[in-house]
Amino acid sequence: MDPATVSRAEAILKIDPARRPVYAYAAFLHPDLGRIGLIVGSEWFTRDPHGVSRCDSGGLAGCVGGFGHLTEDQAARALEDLTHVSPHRWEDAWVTEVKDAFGGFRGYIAGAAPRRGCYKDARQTCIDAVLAKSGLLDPRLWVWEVRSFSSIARGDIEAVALAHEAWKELHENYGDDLPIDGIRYLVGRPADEGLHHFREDEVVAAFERGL
Amino acid sequence: MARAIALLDKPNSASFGMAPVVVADDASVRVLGFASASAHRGRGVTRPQVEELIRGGHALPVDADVPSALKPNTVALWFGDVFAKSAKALDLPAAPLPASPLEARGGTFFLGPSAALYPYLERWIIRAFQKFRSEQSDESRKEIAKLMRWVLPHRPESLAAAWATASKPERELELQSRTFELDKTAAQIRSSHEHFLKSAGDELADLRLVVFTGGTGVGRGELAERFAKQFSLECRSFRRSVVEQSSHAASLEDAKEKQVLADNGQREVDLSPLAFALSVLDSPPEKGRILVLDSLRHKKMRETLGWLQPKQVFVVAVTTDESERRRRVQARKIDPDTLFKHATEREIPDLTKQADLRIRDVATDQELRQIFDLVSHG
Repeated sequence: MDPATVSRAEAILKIDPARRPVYAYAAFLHPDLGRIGLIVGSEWFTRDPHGVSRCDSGGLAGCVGGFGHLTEDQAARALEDLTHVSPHRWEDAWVTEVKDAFGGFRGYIAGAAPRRGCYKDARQTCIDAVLAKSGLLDPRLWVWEVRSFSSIARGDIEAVALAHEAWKELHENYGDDLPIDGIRYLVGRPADEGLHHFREDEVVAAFERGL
Repeated sequence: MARAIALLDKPNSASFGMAPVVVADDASVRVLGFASASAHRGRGVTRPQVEELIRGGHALPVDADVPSALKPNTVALWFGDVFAKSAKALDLPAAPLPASPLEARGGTFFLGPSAALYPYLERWIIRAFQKFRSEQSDESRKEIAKLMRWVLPHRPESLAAAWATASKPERELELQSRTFELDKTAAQIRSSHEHFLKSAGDELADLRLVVFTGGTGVGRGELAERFAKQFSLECRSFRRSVVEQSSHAASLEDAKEKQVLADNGQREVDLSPLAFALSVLDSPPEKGRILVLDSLRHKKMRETLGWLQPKQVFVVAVTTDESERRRRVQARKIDPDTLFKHATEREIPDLTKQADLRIRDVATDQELRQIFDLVSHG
């Protein structure tokens, strides 16, 4: 994402530019992350949390994509409304919201669209605007973003999701001595019916195990 | 027209694989080729996102005109340059490829429905594994196993070959239990590899094919049916396979029906000669049986049948007097001069020259017996 957009979001979130957090989506691998995704345990977050937003903070603050119809002022207010700053407990609210919008975590993790009209904030306005125009909903409108000042350590990584060409390169470079030992590699595959980008059923299972 | 602008997952030059393709026109960007379980990963992708994926090394930029009506199940079959060289050196070429290659950095790709292109990977693995099992040299076995990992690393053949050639087999099993064989123990994986290395075979390897070629009007189909009936053999036809996929053609008059079937047949050959060949070889008859195949019209299909390495491919070319042939075609209200120029007729003279046997449409039962004896005795 455009660095200026990220800076704008961080200014709204009162993040000191000298001490910036690491970003992740809660229980979601977004397509924009490409052909490799790290599934990280919640320990990473709890070591030194900054906070949580109920959608992608950069997209919202920059009025990007599905957030495009908001004005900058509306977006700034919405980001404040949709953010839980540490030490506020957010997990229960997240679980309640996901269950309400998707009936359970499976749909949320697998990229399904939420139930119509389930949000009572700026996200619903954005979703309605997108549906009225193109109908293609980007999960960044509702996937929760978590931020921690802690670096991601090797031991935080629970599993690595890879597309199959990415796996071929990784294996060529490392052989059986992969960079992270003792974890699962959830590798996609081509098939008669098309490409499985990651091993999707195992990606869902990996996130569900951590809930 | 639209343009293909990127292949997701950035296939490597050393790879033979499949990738989702990003297609753009003036109005939109679409990602094609994901299976339903991954469909959400291509939804709503924008051009700046694709450019970001290219910059980040997650997608390969390409630039090719493509039809704007490409279906969502369209994938890119990727044939890397380095892979092609390595496979050639090991005498493991790909099956005859589709007709329309597109160039990209490090390789060539072909667009088509996933079901038509995936067999290129699957059948290559089966063929490579047969060679792996018969190969005596450890060095060659290692090379084959390595190449298999660049095609379908998750296939049981690839995993068994990787284990059988690993310098540390226990370490390899441990790796497999964390990647493609999740929830299995090392002992379970080892046991299935041992069994697979002993027993896995290719169901086509014992098959003998008697393949009939000849242009429209020579009486080829009738002779193939007669031959099959005389020796109680199953007769399948490339033509029948096309007819089944062109159900609407049956309602047309003869000349138009012929044109539709010929065009569709040509399209099948251009799109995926391998899938077209497999469409008539699906569930082959019992082991050791002879299968009669009618309506061979393309050299590429002849090559493909050979590439599949059945026990035997015996091509019979059927001929008749040219005047009689024209009369038969005209009787169906089809203009012979137009028909004989169609792409599905053009290669038949060469196929006839290269056939194992040429025979007249009025062949006697005794002549057919000779063909049967030749094939039965290999």
